[in-house]
Amino acid sequence: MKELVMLAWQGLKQKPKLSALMVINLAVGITLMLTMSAIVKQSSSEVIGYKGDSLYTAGLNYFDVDEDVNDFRQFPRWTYQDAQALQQANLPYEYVSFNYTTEFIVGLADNSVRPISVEASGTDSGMFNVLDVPFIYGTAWNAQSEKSGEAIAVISKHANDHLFGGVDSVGQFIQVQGEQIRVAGVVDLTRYKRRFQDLSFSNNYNHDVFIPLNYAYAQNFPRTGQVTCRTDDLYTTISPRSGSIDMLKSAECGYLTVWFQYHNDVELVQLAELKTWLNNYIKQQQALGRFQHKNLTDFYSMGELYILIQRFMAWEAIYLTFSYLLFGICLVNTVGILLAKFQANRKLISLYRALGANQSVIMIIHFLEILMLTLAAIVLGFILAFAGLELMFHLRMYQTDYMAIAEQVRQIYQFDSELALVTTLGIFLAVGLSGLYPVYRSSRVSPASELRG
Amino acid sequence: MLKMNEVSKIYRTDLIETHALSNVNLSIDEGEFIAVTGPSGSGKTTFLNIAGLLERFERGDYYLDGENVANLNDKKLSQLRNEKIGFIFQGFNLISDLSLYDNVEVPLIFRGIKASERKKRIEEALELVGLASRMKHYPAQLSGGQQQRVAIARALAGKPRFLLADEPTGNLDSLMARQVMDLLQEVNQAGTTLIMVTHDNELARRAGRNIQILDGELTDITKSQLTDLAV
Repeated sequence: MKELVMLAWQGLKQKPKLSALMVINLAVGITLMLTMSAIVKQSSSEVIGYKGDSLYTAGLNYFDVDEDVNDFRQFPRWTYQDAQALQQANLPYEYVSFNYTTEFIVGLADNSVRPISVEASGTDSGMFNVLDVPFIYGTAWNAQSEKSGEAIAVISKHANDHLFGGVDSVGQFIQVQGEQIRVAGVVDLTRYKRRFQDLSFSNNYNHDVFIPLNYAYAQNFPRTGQVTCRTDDLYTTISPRSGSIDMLKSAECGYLTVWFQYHNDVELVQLAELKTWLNNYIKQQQALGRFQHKNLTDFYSMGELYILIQRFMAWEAIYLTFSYLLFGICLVNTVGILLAKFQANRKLISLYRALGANQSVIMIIHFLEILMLTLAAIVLGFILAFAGLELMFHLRMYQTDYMAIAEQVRQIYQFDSELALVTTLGIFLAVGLSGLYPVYRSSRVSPASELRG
Repeated sequence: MLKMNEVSKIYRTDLIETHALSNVNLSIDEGEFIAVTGPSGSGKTTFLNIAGLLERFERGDYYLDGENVANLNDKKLSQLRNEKIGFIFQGFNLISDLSLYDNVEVPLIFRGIKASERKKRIEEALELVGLASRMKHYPAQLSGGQQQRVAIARALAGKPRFLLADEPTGNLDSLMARQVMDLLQEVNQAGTTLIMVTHDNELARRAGRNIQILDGELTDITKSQLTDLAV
């Protein structure tokens, strides 16, 4: 076999420009296919897949009947009143957690570091069980701190790196709107490709600061996530993003996202209890004139949400389809190039035949030649795909004015070795099949006519 | 050892049917040196291609070492070609990117001979043609005559029963042509049957037997007939 590889190498060198053209042609197709496949695979992979069947979110639709509500992205967030009713119902679950998204500038009292603008969560300690990330330093705040609305926070690794140089900052203070907030713990959320807790599913960055809801209310930190009111007039009157928190609490304006976590063994029974409560609550509220819309409840497991998200990745799907089509075109080109190459090698093939090579040997030599060219194309394609993913990463960072957290964005634009392995096998198979006809033709060259002169 | 009975070869297109060889009857004994002459287009090369199993024929029987090759499949024909026949072409047909050693090695690879045995045979063959010291050189570094000697070494390395030479000196000057012919005669005298197609009557006179092909028909001729008929 070693000798046949050597002869295949000779064939490969016979028309170097055609060989190079085939390699470049295939490499371009591989690059696009691998780059897009990697991005789509990473984008559509589940954030917290192992909780796909144990983590749920729900919504109650208090909108007027003529408001379009087709999927979870348009569904209203929970109002304070509805959230209170749910909590007071004392339903069984492992954890329940509410949160809303806010923004503020965080720095240190001594101004020793540049303050940064962050997105944050006003939430409860149950959120850390929902997020299920290990603490790098410290722990979540306790129930007492939560109840009293203590100025306490859990910060992200990103914020800790910036504010405290990455050292253990538990017990240190951060400053927000002139208030000192004690750091209780530090978590690293960059392992999640998307921020799911506020249903934004953004893959640019995660929240940098988590503070107790009661403290957020006390400081009236703005509501910067999805905020909706039953009517536009109410929205104008209440000004729910930055207006009085007391008015917001009593208004039919939603800003809270809820998560329920269940043990798998009791999940179905407890879910049924939750759904029953929701239906009863809706009926009770309908008697008061609320909940007239045809779509009244929204209920998804984490797994179901991810299936929905994949449906919304229309552009990514188009790009991926386009990359497959382009690879198909590259394969067609490959057939043409191989035909031209083997045609140009007729004299060499004829010589091999005259020297005793049978048709099978000629086919093996040419398949080995194709194998070598494909291998070169794959190596080049992988190098270009690395470069392509790096380029896409930098474009994405540029697109977000470098506000995104690089470690998190990087997860979407990373080379996927499992995908690369599958792609490699697929490419060898596809190119091998594409080469069948040219190889067959080459083995049928009549040697007599090529060896004269 | 080579016997053709009523062998015919016809080339067909949509409109024309050309009889390249018509009812050829020929018997060649082991160790003979045969020169095949005839005008251009007479069928000399077709005869050589059929004798060398590079082309199939329409009718007749062809026995090579007693085996009728008429209905053999490609694999068997290739094996016979590799083991029993050595080719020498006018244009040498060496592979320019391979060293002399590697060029001579090619037919031995197709036969599946082990590397150590290949090495021995290659060195012997290149020694025979006087190029053993240049086995690492490439064809472009050699003169035309030397290249043809490498082609002869390649043909001989497989220890064939037949050498088929198609105008082996056609691309060489007279001095080199003489050297190559001397070498071929040496090989023939050592026992290898040599069938040579040529236009050159002087070279044809070196052969022990002369065959003339005219319009696809083959006849034995005497040396004195060469001058009148060959060109």
